Amino acid sequence: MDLTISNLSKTYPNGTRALDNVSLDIRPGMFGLLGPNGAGKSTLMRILATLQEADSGEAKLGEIDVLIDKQNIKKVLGYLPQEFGFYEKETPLRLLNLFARLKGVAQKKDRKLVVEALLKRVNLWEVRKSKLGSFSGGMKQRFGIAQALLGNTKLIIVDEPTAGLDPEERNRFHNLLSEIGEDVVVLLSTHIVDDVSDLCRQMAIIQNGRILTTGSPQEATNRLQGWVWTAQIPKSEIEEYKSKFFVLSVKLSGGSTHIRILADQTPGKTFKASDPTLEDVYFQHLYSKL
Amino acid sequence: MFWVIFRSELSASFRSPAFWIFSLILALFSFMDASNDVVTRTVMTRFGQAWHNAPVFISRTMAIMSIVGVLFSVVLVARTVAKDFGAKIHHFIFTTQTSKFSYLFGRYFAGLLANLLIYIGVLMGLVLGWQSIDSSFSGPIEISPFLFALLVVLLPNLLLVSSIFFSLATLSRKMFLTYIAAIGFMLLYTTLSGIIRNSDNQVLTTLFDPTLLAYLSFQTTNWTIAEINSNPVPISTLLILNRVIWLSISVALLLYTSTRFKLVADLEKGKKKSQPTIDENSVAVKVLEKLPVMPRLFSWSQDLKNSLVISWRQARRIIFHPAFLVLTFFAVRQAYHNFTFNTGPNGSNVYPFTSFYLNQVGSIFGYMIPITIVFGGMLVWRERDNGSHELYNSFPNAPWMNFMSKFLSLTWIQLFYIIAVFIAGILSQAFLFGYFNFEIPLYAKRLLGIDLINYLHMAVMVLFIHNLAGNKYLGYLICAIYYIADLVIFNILGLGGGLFNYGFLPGYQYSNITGFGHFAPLLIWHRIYWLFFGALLASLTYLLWRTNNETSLFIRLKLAWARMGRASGAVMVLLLIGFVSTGAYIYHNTYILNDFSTSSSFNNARERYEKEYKHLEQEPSVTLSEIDLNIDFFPKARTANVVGSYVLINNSNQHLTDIYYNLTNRRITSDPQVEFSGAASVLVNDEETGFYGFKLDKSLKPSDSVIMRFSYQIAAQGFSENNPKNELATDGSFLHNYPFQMPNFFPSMNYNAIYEISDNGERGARGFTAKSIFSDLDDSLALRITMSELVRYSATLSTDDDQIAITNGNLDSTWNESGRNYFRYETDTLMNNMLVMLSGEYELVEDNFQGVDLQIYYHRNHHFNIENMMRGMKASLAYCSSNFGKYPYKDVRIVEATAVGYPGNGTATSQPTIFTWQENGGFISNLEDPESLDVVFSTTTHEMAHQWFGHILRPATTAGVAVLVETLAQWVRLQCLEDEFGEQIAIDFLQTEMDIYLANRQRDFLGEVPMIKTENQAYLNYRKGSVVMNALEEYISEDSVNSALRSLIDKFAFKGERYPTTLDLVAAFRKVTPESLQYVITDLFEHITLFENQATDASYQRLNDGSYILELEVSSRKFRSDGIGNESEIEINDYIPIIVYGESDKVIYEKFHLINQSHSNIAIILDKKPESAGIDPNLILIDRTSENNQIKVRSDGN
Repeated sequence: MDLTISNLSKTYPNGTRALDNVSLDIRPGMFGLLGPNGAGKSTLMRILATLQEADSGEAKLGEIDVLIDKQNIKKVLGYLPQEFGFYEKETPLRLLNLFARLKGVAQKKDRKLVVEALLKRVNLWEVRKSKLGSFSGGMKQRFGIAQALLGNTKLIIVDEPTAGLDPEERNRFHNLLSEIGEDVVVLLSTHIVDDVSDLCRQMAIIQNGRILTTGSPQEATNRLQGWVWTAQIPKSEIEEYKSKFFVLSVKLSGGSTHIRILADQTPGKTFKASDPTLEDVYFQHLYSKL
Repeated sequence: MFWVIFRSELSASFRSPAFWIFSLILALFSFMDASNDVVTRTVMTRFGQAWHNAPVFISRTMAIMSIVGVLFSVVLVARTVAKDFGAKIHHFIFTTQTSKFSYLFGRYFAGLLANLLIYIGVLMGLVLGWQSIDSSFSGPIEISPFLFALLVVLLPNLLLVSSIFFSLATLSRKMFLTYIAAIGFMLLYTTLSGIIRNSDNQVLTTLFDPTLLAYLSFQTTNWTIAEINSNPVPISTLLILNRVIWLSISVALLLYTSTRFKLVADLEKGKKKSQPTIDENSVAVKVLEKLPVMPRLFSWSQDLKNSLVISWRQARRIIFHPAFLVLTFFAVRQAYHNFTFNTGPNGSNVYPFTSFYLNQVGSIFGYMIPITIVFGGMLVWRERDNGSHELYNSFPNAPWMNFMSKFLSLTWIQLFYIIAVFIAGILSQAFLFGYFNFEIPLYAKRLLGIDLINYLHMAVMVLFIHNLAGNKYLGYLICAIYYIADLVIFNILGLGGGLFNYGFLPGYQYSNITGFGHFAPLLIWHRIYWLFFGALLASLTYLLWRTNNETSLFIRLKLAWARMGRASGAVMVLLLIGFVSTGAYIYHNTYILNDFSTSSSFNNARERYEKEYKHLEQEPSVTLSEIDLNIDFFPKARTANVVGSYVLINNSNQHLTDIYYNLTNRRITSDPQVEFSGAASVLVNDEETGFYGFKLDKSLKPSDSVIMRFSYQIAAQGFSENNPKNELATDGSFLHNYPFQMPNFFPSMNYNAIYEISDNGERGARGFTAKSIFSDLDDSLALRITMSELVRYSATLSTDDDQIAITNGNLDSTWNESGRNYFRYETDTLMNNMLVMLSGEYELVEDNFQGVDLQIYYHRNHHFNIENMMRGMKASLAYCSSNFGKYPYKDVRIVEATAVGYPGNGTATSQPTIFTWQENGGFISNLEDPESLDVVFSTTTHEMAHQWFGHILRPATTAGVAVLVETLAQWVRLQCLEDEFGEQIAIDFLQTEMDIYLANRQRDFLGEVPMIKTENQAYLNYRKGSVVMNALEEYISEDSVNSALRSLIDKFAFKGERYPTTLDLVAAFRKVTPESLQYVITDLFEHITLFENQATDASYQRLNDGSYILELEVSSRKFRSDGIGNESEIEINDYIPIIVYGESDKVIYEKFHLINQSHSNIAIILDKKPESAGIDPNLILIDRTSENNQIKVRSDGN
């Protein structure tokens, strides 16, 4: 089942245009929505998760109209919000059991089976009887993904799941996401480029409520082949380069300043050609709009 | 550092709105208290005519305000440190250079100072309040009472309260717990102080009560108004001890807190588990197996199940939270404490019927309002608060599931309460009273049908408000405003809440005889009406229920519209139809079938009555002399047909043509047919005031008479919250013709000043001059007026064949005709025109005593004390007949009246040949304790005596009227008690009467007057009356008293030209009193006379002949008091009893001594060894300090 989004717009009462005519065609598999904070990622995700109303436009999962037929979309939806909490004295076992009930698993023994499988899958089985309040950020996120996987989900929406996780936890979380079945649409929003490059076969870059580009990360990176140049420069020259060239990024590495520039030929003799990364693609789209 | 923290905390207090709001609230309360000159003066702090700014009242107001302000102290002081934990900024503070001492006490004392400063509001409120009232209510304003109230009363109270909660909050670091504890503290205080106030140990009570209220109350119990006005609060060792104890506790608490408090970020808890640890890498990626796919079910029944499960999970957390359990405990405790207190030996001492317990559970509603608001808000915002709302909202449940789970959660909580209340009721009935007739269906009707549904309405409203409110605190605020408005607005409007006030249940009167009776349809229809509305409100709440993040009302309305499918739309339309149609039906009953009268429309009619017809009062008018009534009761239809005739006689010396009568038509359903034996034309036909007049074609010559015939129907139609027509009941109908009670069921003749507006405030507002209820003693016109006429009365009453119909007079014959019971009452003797007519399913017990038929009509379940009543009737009848003349009728009866038609819980009222006793009185008194006074016997003798004093001897309606009625009935009661139970019971009885008299002097609004001039002052007419009559007996003997009363009766009985007053009574007493004791009559009846008798020393010596000589030293002072208790000493020259007691309190000497010095030494020769001696130890004279009248006798030498 494909998720088709056409001309979706949303303006907040304070005048912020959070989504501006967004159209996307998303096939099963992991889809990365990349954008800076405030780009409209969460708004799009919430609208798809029925938590907000769109002003105009359409979204369909297969035959189901996401914006209207909310009950039916919820039956196949797994949603992990950007920020969430729980009643802190609850244990994962009891709470997931309740969630299973609410997601329609009516038989007690069914619930037992599915909850056990999920907790093992997200590696929380050992702590199933600890209080959620004592969990670390990563454990909380894993519990979050466990509940999102509950039920025969066809659409999984995970909103900035790796924000604030340490690298090890992030790695673990990536593993979990990568195990989700191929026939499910997984929509992952993030402002971390590596999340997308590690996990997604498709992606879109979003800023100010508009889709800047969409496609496969690999293709997008390939398109910049031969355009990215890098050099180590003195700090004082940054502004000069910025005024003359399209600077993709300036990074500190080992105490020295490395600059990456987008250009059809080498910007200077200290520059070397560099293999483009997804990050280069991201910054290219972000800054070209400025 | 201390000062830095102190200053910054103090300025933070000044910036917080709470500080100003609290000041304002205290100012407002104090202003209301100080400026309130009539209504709630007794409720709050003061009573009687005392100055509002009397020193005692300032202290008392301050003490009460310090209780009101407990929660303010929690906010202003207890939070000062704990708030840092709530905001999680304690890390930053602990890492600065601050010392623990500066941090804790800088915060604490800044909070305490702020707390103290809000009480400036009290001072301002008081001063402004005193300015706003009549200047006669306040004296000069002085500084010292304020200083005392602030420093001695308030400051230690604040210290204590804030130390307790500061310590609790600071050490536990939990504010929520602290708030709950504060609420618990207040409830505990009220409960405990209620219990303790009734304990006899005043010393302990005074020490225990930190607020000083007990101290203030005990110290001033017998103070006169004059003393209240002038005396400062007395400073005694007890006071100092109290303050020292509680100050030490406060300081100890603070010290404990400062040693226990640690500047650490987290409290280490021994049992707390450390962070769960798992070896993350060991499990690695072994989990590639597919997740099991489970069958899923989505249906409404599944969602209902879900909401039940969730609701219980949510409710469980609240119900089994210790704080909630404590709150429940207090609420329930209050109910059963009130029950046991009011029903038990200290209260009315009746059998503990279930309905009496249920009367008390209404108080729990007061707890339910904050509980529902607080927990309702918590539940609605729960997911939002803990951040899981987006998860729950993404789950595939029906939109109503979440709403339903919140509603059901509240229902569980409420049910828990109901069950706790139910169990407490059963347990207290069984174990505290040993009473096992539980009446479970009544519990169910009341607790489920009335209380639970009231609670559920509240739950619906709270959910509705919180669902619409933008955030939790706004929700709380709107809820609070709603419930305050709910309490206030409908009282002001006086519209009657039935149709306008959501969830309103009209008032009803439950009777243990007839149950809910005719109130049942009234209650049920209002229940149904508001249930429709509640369901509509719930539907609306569901439609607008937040199921996603959208907050704008426009979008939510759009969603609601989309959510309202055909089915829910149809349901809502049906609910609306149900609501409107039941509303229409209630409207029809309340406003069409019955009229709806407000107090202002009532007073408007009264105003016009006085303005238009007052002049008729001076005109000569007819006198009612004979009454014949035919009343057919139809109890099942709640109807009575009345046919009657009056013989009206011209007792004036002029010709008369105009005849006027009052018949307010509020109770009368058919047009009254009125005609005269001669032709007559209509003169006045004023339906609004119920005043009618006819002009006879042929005038009445002096002593001529005319017959007035009338017929009409009295019927209850439908139901009405405003005019329930309680006089007509399916069992226990009760009609009367008291002219002084409105409305009347029978015509009462002539313009009657009793129907004028009597409240002097209302009179002033409508431009009338103030009037007093009774005329002056020297008003010669008033001597010709009494409460009611003397008439010849006969009646035929009929009723259903399972009922008995009763009225005044001798029962002549009974018969049954076409399935109905008939009763003919015929009486030759003239009768005081105070008639009652009752019909009910009565049991009858009969006896004959001295030729009089004694009858007791009672409900079959209320059989407990019939025998005691019978004995009381006989005792009183025997005493009165032999002393005041033969009982003039053949029958006398006691009739049980139901609580429905007869307000006045448990009271008895006397009419000629009958006294009616409300069901909750003597019929169900619990007399099982042999130690306590037989109140049934006692009351019966009093009521029976009214046949003589009230009905045979009919006083003029001047001041002192009640002395001729009530005081003389008390006299008979006293004599009967003494004859039946012996002298000691009479002495105990008199001691109680004296205590009540003395304690009530300061509560008298009218001002105390001598006995000859009393008004409706029960503490004088009854209590002081007993004391005075007993003294009279001691001085001039029982026989002399009775011969004086007999002479009065002989002179005035059954005569109608002039009626006796207290002046006649006093004259009769003087006649039988020797010259040397005339002063006693003066003291007792014409002045307020008090004594301060004291036995200061007593010793004895044994004489050689075996006898003893007792040397008794007494002091004796005599005072006259004015209306507010200003005493002036007068010379003493009085006969006062000296009593000496020997072994085991046997009286070995008793004699009146002439005492004519303030200090006297009395030597008495005794033949037995004295143990103790006293001056007036039995208190025949009024003495405010009675405990020093008696003294142990010590041996003096050999």
